[in-house]
Amino acid sequence: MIQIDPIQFLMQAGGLFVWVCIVAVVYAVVEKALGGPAAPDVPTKM
Amino acid sequence: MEAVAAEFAFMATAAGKAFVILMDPVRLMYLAAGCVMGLVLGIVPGIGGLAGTAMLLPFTFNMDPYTAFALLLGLGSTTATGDPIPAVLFGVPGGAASAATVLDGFPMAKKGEAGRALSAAYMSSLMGGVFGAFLMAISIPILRPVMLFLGSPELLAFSVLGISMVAVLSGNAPLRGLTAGCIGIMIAMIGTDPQSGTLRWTFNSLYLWDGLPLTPLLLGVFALPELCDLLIARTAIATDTSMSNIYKGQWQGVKDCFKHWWLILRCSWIGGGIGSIPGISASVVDWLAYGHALKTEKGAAQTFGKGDVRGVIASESSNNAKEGGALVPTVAFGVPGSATMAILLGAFLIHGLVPGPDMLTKNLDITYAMVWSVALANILGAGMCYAFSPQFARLSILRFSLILPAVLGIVYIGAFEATRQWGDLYSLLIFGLLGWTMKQFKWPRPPLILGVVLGDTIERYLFISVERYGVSWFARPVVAILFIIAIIGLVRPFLQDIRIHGGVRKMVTNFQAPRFHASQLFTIFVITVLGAACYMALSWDFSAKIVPLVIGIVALIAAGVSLFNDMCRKPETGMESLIDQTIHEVERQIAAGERSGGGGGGGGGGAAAAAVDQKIHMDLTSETGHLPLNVIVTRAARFFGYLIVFMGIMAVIGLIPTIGLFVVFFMRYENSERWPLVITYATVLVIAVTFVFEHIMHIPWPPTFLGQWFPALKAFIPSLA
Repeated sequence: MIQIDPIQFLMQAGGLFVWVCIVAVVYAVVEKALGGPAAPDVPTKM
Repeated sequence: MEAVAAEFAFMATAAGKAFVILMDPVRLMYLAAGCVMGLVLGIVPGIGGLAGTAMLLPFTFNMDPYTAFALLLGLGSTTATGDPIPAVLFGVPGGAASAATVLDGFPMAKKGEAGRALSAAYMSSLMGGVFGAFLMAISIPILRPVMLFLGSPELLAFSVLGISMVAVLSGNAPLRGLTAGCIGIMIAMIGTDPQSGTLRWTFNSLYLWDGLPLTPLLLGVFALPELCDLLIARTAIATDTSMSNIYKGQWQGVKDCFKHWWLILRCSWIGGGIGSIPGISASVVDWLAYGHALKTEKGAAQTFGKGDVRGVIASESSNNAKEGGALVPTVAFGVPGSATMAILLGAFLIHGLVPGPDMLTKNLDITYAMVWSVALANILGAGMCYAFSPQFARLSILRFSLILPAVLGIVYIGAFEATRQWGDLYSLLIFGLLGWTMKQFKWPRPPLILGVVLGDTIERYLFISVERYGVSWFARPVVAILFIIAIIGLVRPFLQDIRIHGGVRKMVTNFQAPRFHASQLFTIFVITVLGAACYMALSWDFSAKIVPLVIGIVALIAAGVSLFNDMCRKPETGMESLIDQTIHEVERQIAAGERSGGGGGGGGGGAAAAAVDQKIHMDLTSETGHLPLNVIVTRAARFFGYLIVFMGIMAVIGLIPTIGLFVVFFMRYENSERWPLVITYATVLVIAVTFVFEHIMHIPWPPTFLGQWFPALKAFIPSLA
């Protein structure tokens, strides 16, 4: 039987969203400090 | 007569019982979920049914066998149904089994007949798949009386025959196949020897005492190499083909299938029959059926390769029928017909089922549940394809930066399910590296897995046979015949070699000064490891060391000869197996058709020619050949670097927060994805993983430092243990 505690799940989901945002902000700051996004490493044709 | 009637009644009862059991709504839901996953994995670039089955296996641990096989066979049966979508629309097969579909499917799409081609592909897949299930169903009453006379010696001989056939047939390098199979058997012998209690190759690690678990090994060997190649190749499918005509001509496609029902029947028979021969993988079945249609259908030489619906029908009906065919030797003799079936055999062992006579007597209802699962999955899969073609088509243009992080997270969770120790994750990493190297250097991986799955069984049956029958077990007629076939299979490539060179003398003098190549380093590494393993085994008890030593010495000899051949044999031409001959015949006939038709029309001959190299090596090959070596090595090192860093961070903060962190970093760093997409994708993914694995499946997570230091945080942070 599937039993889910909705309050706990919503708290975890909210926490995860905040976590993703924190990671994104930190990455964006570091990225900017290093001079912008890395150039995509595209496939190399022979 | 009465006995036949009683036998029929017994089987009808088992088949009926299996049908009723499978009709349970929860089981049907799992079957449908397996179908959806099979279709998605068949369509998404880079991940095939093999990796998908390996990924699903650990999540079936807590299910009953009916549900577990419904899920696994739902996936396995439908990967080939979704394959034609990218093959027809974009000219890129979703999997190896649909390579021949491209030849006629793509030209049809160019002519504005994509809907007709796809519809014909779905309907022929459905008919082929149901035929495969039917083939399995009628094999059971034929095999049942035979199975009742088989004992341990015969089952041992079947296992040996299975490994030898897979080793020899699964590549253009039978010696490598044999070495890989032997290594697999040796891996299966890691742990405590059941006879003497000797610890074999455990390296003082408690984790290895019970043997190396199958799941991290499977995921490492089959899933990680695909992900690594996805990062290396970064293949993107161009979307210049319009999807507007995807529904147009669907009815015509269905009518085509009914019009060419005899072709479907013949090609399904080829698929089912070839699928039941261990070692001949899915990637050749469609070519054999296509070649058959090309030879036998009226006017095919002029129209095949330019958009003839019969080409699509031939290829698709055969590749769906192979699943039912491949199940027959797996269930009846414990000899998997393919790598996917080797994984399924792993599922048998995990669920406490022993393939062989039991599956046709005591557990006959489970066997019939498999037949029903395959048939229903094919019907469901085709129905879903008819309903959601445009949505599935969009999946085939997904970028690697979206696929890889999600799949990697699931691979980690699946691997940890094996014994729930960190050792599972180390095994995953080690076998991932081994699998990728094997794939890169064209060492066939299926024999390795088959060896691992059958290794235990072989040793067990050997000891039972010796205990019960002494030396006389070897002289039992069925055993003798099977061993002779196995020996002929192993010797055949050498005989072929002698014939091509025009005699033994010419063959043994056909050498040159040694030439070195990077791929030989891997063979040298394998020889070193095998040598060290054999040396360690010398100090064990006689009963513990006899089988590993014999297997190890065979592997050493095979690897040594393979290395010598690589270095010193002059390049040879003209060595064609039956399958190679068929592919070359397809190529020649298409080329002839193109000439007589004035050329043009999709360049089928060229496509066939390009596919020939791939077909000869009957494992998935790396599609990274167009890249320089330094790019391949750098990107592979980055991939395995990601895995190590991922595991390091996971050890501190837990798996789910690590997935969030990894997705943001990976999408942004590897492909400069837009921030709104990155944040939305990462959030949805981590919430979905939390919902499914923490709240529905209640997966136990690996212990983390943060969880040990601050236990109170476990209530708030998912996957913190």
